[in-house]
Amino acid sequence: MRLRLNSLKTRTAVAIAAVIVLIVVANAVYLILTKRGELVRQTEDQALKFALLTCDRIGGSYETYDVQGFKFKELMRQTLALNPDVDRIQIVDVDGRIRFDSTHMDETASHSGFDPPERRIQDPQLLAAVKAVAGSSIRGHDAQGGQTLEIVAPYREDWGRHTLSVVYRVTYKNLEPGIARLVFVTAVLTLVSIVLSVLVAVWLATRITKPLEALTSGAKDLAEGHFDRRLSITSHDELEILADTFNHMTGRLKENVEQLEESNKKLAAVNEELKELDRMKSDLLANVSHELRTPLTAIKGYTDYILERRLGMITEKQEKGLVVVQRNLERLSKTINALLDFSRMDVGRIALNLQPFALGPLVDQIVTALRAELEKKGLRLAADIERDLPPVIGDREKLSAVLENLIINALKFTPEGGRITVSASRAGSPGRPAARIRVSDTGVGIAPEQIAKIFNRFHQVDTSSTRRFGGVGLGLAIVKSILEAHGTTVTVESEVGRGTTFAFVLPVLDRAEAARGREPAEEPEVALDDEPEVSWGPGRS
Amino acid sequence: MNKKKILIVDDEDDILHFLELVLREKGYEVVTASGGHEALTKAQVDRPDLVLLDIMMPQMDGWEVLKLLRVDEGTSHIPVAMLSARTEAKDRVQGLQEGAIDYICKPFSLQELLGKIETIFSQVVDRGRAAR
Repeated sequence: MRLRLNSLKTRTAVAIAAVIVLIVVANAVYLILTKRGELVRQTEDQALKFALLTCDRIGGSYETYDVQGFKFKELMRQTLALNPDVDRIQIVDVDGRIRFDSTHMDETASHSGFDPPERRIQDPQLLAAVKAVAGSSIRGHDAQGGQTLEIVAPYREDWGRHTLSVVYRVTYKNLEPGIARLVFVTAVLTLVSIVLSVLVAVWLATRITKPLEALTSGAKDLAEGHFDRRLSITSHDELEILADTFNHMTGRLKENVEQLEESNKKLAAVNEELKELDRMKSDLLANVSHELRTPLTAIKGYTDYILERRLGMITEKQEKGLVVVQRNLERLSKTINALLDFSRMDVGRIALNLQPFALGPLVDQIVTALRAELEKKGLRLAADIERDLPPVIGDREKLSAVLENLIINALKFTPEGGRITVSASRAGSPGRPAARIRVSDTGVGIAPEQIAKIFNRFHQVDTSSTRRFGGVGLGLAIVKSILEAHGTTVTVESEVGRGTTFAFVLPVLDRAEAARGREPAEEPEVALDDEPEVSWGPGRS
Repeated sequence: MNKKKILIVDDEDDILHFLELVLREKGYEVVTASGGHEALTKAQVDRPDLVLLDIMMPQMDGWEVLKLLRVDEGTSHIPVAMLSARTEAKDRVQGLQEGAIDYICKPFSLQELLGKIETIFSQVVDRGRAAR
């Protein structure tokens, strides 16, 4: 029976114990006060009766005998002995003069024959009582500060004249031992009750919380995946119902989890199948590309050869026709290359040759390569690379393909006189330095519902655009694949008629910034080879 | 200077004939083989100065031919240029590692092919001179 602070059990036990202790203590206090009051009242009643009984005899004796005489004193002593609660008897006349005081009996005896010095009652309340014809009682204190009760009993002479009063002083000293014993016994009983009540409280709390503990440990087991655990609570109350419900729920949960695992397995199998299909498809694509290249070689070779007049002279018309053949061969060959590139990427076989490189020269190189086509369409291309941008980390050859594809895409969809901007700026959080690279155009834009589809293979916004813009729709799919292999994604912002911006983020090599990060181990996420290995990238010849 | 002798190996007759035509015209002596076994025999018999070797061929592919040419003492000195529709970097690197002197991707342009052949011969001559 272990008690934890703040546990339900402890709180229940404390609450029950507190209630019992409160009741027991209140009872004890009430008992003591009542008993004490009863004793006091009893004492006072007795004293009153005593006063009524003795008053006349004392008054008569006072008038009959000499106050200082032995007879009177003996009488007073006998009277005092009758009631131990009365410790003083005074005889006072209506003017407040004290004619006799039992406490001074013995000292006045030694001065036999002389009157004692005159003493008077000072307390005005008592003086009034003494003067009154009716009897009364007044509370006061003795010299030691103990509580007293002065009972004033008027004495009437035989013919009814009231000249004297007898004043009895009652003390409660004799009650004290009784009350003390009462308090002691009550206290002991109360303590015993408290100890018992605490024991009972803990027992009760344990009884109440035991099923709860069983439920808690059951729930814990369930959380850890032990679905076979069943609770057995037979408390014949709500908790038993709860436990039954819990068991039912566990059973259902077990079924569900098993079903889930089953369907997960199925999904994994389906996934494997899909991967296999995808691989087969890519293999097929690769083989088809090879098969397409071989005849192209012969066609292209002969065309070039004839155009070089190696097989004799040709007419101008024949030459024009062959130039068309040559140009279309070029286009066909590019398409086949793109297909092959993509089929290779598609199977997740993109192996990256990661190394830091400066973005500026790469952009310049691409812009130079595309200059002729840009000029043909009257487009302006601006490169806006942030100054002191640290080298970005990635596969230079593949990222070159990304930028080239994005720019070619912009070029296709931007009308004459438009503008294409390639920009790069710092982005990223402390400890993770990065660069954001954007390719924007002022072209036709993409409708929101089309944006999700543009990265699909062979997708073009509408089929008529194939005729208008050319290409097979592989460019953006290649972009997406390469960037995903780099662990980043490409985002698109576009407005129909206003233009489109493609953006992506790459890590940069900034040792100072990386060192400022949380941990020193947090170098750029990609491992860097000092010796760049042979690139397995796609041949873009 | 003697006429340089080139052995062309390809299972595609059209390409074989085209290359034969072009290289003859250019003044080289040309031997052709349309399979791996034939290629090995002709390399032994004709002792060409250069072999243009296709990779994807039935029965014996270009890789095997290349290996056997390298192993045989009589042919191990002959430079071999791979000629293939397989454009993957992996293949190109493999070719160079296995001892090919160059790797030409199909479809190639005529100028490219002739330029490369000339370069190979000049390199070989340089090497020959350096050896002497």
